[in-house]
Amino acid sequence: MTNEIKSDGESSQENDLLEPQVERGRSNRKEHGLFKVIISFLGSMELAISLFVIIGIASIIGTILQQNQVYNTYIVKFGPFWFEVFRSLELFDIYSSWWFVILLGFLLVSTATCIYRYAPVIIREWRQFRLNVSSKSLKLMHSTGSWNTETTPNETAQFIQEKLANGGYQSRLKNEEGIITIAAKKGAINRLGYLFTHGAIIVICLSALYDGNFNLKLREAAGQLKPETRDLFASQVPDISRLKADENHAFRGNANVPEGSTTGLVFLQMRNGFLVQELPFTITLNDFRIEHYNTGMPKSFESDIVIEDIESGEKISKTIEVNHPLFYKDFAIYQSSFDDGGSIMDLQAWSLDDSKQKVVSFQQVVGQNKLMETSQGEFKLELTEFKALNVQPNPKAEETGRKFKNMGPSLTFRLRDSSGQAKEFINYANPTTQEGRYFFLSGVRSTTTEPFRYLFIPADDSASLKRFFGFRSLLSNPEEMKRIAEKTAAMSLPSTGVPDPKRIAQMAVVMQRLAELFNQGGFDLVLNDINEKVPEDKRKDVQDSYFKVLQTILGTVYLEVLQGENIDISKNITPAQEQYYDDLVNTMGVISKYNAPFFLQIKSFEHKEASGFQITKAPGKDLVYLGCTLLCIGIVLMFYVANKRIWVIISPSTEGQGAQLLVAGSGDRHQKEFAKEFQALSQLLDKQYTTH
Amino acid sequence: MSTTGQEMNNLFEKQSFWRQLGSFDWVWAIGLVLASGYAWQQYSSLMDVYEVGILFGTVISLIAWGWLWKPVRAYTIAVALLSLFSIYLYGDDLALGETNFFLKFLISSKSSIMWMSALYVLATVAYFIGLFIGSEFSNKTASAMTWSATVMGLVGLLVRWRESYLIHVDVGHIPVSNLYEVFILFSIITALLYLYYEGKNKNYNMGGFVLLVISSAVAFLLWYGFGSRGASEIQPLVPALQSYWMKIHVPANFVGYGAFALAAMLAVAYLIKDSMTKSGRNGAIINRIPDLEILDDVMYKSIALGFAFFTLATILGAMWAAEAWGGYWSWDPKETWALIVWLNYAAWLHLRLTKGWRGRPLAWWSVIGLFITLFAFIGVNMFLSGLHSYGEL
Repeated sequence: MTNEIKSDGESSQENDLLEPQVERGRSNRKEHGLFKVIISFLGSMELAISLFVIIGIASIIGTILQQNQVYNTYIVKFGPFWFEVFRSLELFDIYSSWWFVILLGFLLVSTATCIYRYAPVIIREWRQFRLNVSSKSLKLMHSTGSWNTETTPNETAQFIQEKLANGGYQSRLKNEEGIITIAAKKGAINRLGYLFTHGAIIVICLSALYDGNFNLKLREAAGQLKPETRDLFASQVPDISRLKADENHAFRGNANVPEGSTTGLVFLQMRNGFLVQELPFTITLNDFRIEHYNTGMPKSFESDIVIEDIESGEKISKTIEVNHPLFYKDFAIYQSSFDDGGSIMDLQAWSLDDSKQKVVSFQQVVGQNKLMETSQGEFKLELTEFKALNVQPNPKAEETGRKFKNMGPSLTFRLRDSSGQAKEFINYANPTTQEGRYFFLSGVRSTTTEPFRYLFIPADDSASLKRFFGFRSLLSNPEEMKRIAEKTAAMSLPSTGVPDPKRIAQMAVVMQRLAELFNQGGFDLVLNDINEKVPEDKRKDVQDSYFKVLQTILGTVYLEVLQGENIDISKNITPAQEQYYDDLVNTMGVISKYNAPFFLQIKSFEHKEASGFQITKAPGKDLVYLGCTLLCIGIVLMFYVANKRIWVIISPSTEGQGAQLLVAGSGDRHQKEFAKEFQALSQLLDKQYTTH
Repeated sequence: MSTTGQEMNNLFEKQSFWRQLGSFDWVWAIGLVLASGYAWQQYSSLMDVYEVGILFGTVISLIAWGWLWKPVRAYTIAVALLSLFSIYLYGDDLALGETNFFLKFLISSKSSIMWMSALYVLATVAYFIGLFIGSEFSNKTASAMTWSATVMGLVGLLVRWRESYLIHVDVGHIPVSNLYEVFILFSIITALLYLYYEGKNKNYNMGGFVLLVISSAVAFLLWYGFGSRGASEIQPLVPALQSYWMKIHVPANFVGYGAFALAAMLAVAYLIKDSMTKSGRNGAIINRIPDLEILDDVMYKSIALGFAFFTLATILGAMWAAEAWGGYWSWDPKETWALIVWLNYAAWLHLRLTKGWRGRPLAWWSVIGLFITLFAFIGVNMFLSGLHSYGEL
């Protein structure tokens, strides 16, 4: 089956008339043998529809399978076998894969073939009036009628041409041996819709391909280019992964520029790697500003940048924001994101290790890593993200009238052990309130898919962690604990009678052991110990007395800590201090599940922001827009301009000076509208002439 | 000769289009021009050049639309009066929405949307009653309810626009930014498209089918907007959406979606009628459904209209993307699905126009097309993530 632009199905009569035209159009070209076969294959509707469907399905795959992720993600998801299969089919980067581009190429060739075949016919149909019609063919049309006139053929013709002009028809007249033929057309430009739409597809696809990264793929195939897959600084990237400023006619890359810094490079993503593209200018970020709604959502962000042309030294200062890019020469610079630009964090690591209670203070820049020596081995501390504010829905919105609350600055970091396993943490700089008390908050999780589990460490009177870690430190010191245990044991035994030194010593040993167990694993460990050693029927009693003993010694330790803070404990301790003790014991009870070598406290920070720019060079953009305009015009012409034709044959009457009038017409794809129009014309003629 | 012939008679007589316009046409058009002139004079300092363009573009299109399809005139007047009354009642105090009687029960945004929802559902029922018992009264009531629902829906959107500014001037934006808002838009546009063909073909019996898809949209709307998700709350805009492009890209898209939905529902009517006639069950109900030829024709016209608007919307979207995201095409899931929808209807039109397909296969294809469109419209937001994830479920 061939791609017939004419057949309308509704009216076979017209096809009889119009088909020869199409046939003639085709036979104008010399199409022989193989060429003819190829042309009819490429121009066939079957090919076009198949391509639509295949491109559609390929596109669907590309939306379901997330594109251009880190390869590890795919390996985890599909396993090594299917990963290899999918990778070789280029399914992770479908839209710039060879086969997808070839499909688009086929669509182009197919469309071009259709234009090549039908353009001559279409142009002729658009321009010609088709005066060569016979009365026979007119009588076979859908809309047809004949009249007798009193007026002469010439007068009649003049009258009809006038009326047709009123109706918006253009007409031509032919007088052959007294028989006048009038051919009129309206909206024949409808035919050009075909050329416009199909031409538009070619223009759009070609320009978009030109703007794509096809040339880079070719150079990669030729071995001139290799995407870098390692995590390197731009300066360390080898030449094979670099592109000079004049080497690439079109690209789309990203650059993160910290405040006060300058860059002349962008990164182009290519599958699981990247290329470094040099720019003919540098971008300096002078200032980055961000505004938030009270929900914490960014309201706007903008960057003050200076562009300096490397060759001419010309400078341009401009502020860009989302939806308001800067167009410079062939380049467009967009505000696309924001990030941390290397905020400097003053940190304090409080060891959570039982044997070594120490505090380390240090400075580290967000985005950088540091090796930390701990008793559990060496850990790599990776500071991943710093947020200056964290607005969250306020759980007490009803009471306070404020829907949102700001949790203050937070730092996200990872601790990676020597085997490469990492845990992610999020620590908040400021203590947050819970039922009126203040806690330092730290979230921990083993994988990024699970939610954070939070550790609450109570803040002491001076909003610090000193008391908590003082308590822990004392609890972990065997000599001090021995002293305290003996003191507590002596005090806690019944005051009546003579104290038995042996019992005191026994009691002290139990106390110290319980305190140690508690320090290592909280109440759970104490319970486990009881369950292991005590027969079931006595457990309940032992539990009760052990917990009492444990509370006593922990209480004494706490008092010693308070004393260490120069607090006079001879008076009653305050309810706040009592509450602190409860919170402290609760936290101590669960801290072993936190399972980290140290707690990282944010002492202070210097916030530095970075602006994310997208820099593009798309020379085909205007052509794409031209294509889009053509497409729109074409669609309107095809659907909303009705191609109508009317023919009139006036032959002199055999008797008298009058004439016989034969009128017929066709509305192509708008038969219904045309039928009404023809009815109107018939009415007009009925008034003027008598029906034949 | 029918009356249509009488009207068409003018075509071949020398007479201009302008002379066919009645005095109401002129009063209405001049009213529109004056109103927009007033708006421009009052607020032009707050508008950028594109927004001024959009204002006058809207007025010109509205006038053309009203002259070509007369009921639009009364429709715009009703919407304008109700919206202005509501805005007047609000003044500067959003809290009045909870206390003022008219606002609380009639024309605050939420109440209008509720009225719209109720009226569409009732209209659906009334159309089906009309179809089953052949009651002219029921049909006319259904049609009137559909018109009223469409008025209330647009009033709801316009008042919501104002309400967003009353929350805070920074929050203010045209209400086409999340799924709740666009579902209202979708319902209105689909209804208007249907009402156009109802008026043109003087046949009410397609109403039930088309209103069925609108009622489904309403059900989704109520669940999504007023259920536990509370999506009917006005949310501020993310920076990428703060652009004049949103005012044209989104509505154009929804003319496309609405037209595709209309075509699909007509296809359902077509398939039912065709199957019943073929199996010889030619009852009165089946006879009331318009002729297959008419259904087929309106289905084609609807898809052609949808295709034209969808193409335009996609192009506008590409131009916006070029300004906001740095590239006119990023193979983002929403973009890609727009392409899939476009290819689907392009194939449909090729088969109809050049291969001469008609009837059942194309009707089935339209129904399938609706599911593809639906996926592009909601599925992408539900299952896929990308740049376009504004109206997440």
